[in-house]
Amino acid sequence: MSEDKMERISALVDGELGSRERNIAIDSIEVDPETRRSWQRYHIIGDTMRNTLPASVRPDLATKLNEMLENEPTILVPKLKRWPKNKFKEFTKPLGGLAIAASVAAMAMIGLQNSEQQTLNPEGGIAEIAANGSQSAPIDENITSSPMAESPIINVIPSTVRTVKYEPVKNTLEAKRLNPYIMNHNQVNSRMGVQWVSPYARLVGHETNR
Amino acid sequence: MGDEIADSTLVKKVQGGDKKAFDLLVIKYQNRLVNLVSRYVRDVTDAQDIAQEAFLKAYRALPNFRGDSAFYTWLYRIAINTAKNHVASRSRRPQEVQPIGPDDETFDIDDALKETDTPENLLLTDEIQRTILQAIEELPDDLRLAITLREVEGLSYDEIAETMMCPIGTVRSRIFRAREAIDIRLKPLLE
Repeated sequence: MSEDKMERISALVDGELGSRERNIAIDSIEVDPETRRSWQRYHIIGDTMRNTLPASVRPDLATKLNEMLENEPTILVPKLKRWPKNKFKEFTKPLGGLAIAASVAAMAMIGLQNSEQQTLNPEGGIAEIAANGSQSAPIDENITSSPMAESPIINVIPSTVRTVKYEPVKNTLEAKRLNPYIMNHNQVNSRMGVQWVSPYARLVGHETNR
Repeated sequence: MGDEIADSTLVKKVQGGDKKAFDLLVIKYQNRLVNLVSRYVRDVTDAQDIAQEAFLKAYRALPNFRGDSAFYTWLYRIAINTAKNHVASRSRRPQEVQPIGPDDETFDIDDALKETDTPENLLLTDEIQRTILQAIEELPDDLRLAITLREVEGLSYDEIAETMMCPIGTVRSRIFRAREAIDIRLKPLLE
């Protein structure tokens, strides 16, 4: 018997093995009668040292019990937990709501699949948004339908065709600090299919005169 | 703690259909259980039979064991109840024993000499004890200390490593080498 294997058995006696080694050690005892006898002797050593050895040792007690267990049914305890009936109802109720929400979202996604894809230049500058699968439409610089067109942060100039131009404010401290922040937000918005909205332009109350 | 985890692994294996895993638990606890039951029945043969019955009951009850307590604590309760039922069924006067917990299992073996036990078994047990204790005395100091701290004081490998100021790997190796040295002397007695 290999020394490594027996050292592992010794550590198993002390409960000092990790999960993997533990299973290896247990398997080796189960398959090899000699290893099983070593397991038994290691425990006799410990019982003797702790003075818990009975007056009469019966090494064959476990073997005899094995014979009796052969007539016993094999235990199989299922691992999965069963859901109690009322818990099942509690769980399925919100699922119904989720199903409706999922349907709505799916419909929205289908509609938005035909809308333009937005790509933003994280470096700032003008980002052109091309319609999905088509050439980018001409940008109409004169049309400013966004109520935040006066915002000192960015000018959002939506086109009547399907392009949106983002023109960051140039060369100011605020621009350097805030433009990437707003760009990132618009990227998120585009993924969510939100158009014509620049909430941060609304929400970020920025005062230039301090 | 590590001991409980090891027992838990074995219990789960039994609950998963591995009967042989129960054999490992029996081997581990049989001496302790017989020793415990001997405090209720003076006849050691009876104690062994009761211990065997307790193990059988434990096996049958394992589907209901959820691990709320340590396996040995649960087994201990089954053994005590089985012993008490045995005493009651034989209509003997209850033995006067001091209240004992799962950790208090020691008693003087000389008190348990039984008329019905075979002389060979008693002699064998006596010889096993002498051989083991002598082998321990002859161990090198570091091996003897390591195995004593583990088996008698119940320290973990971590704690032993701290006490002996050595790595955990060295503790594991020393305890193993101590057991091997003792086992060389013990093996011929049990074969």
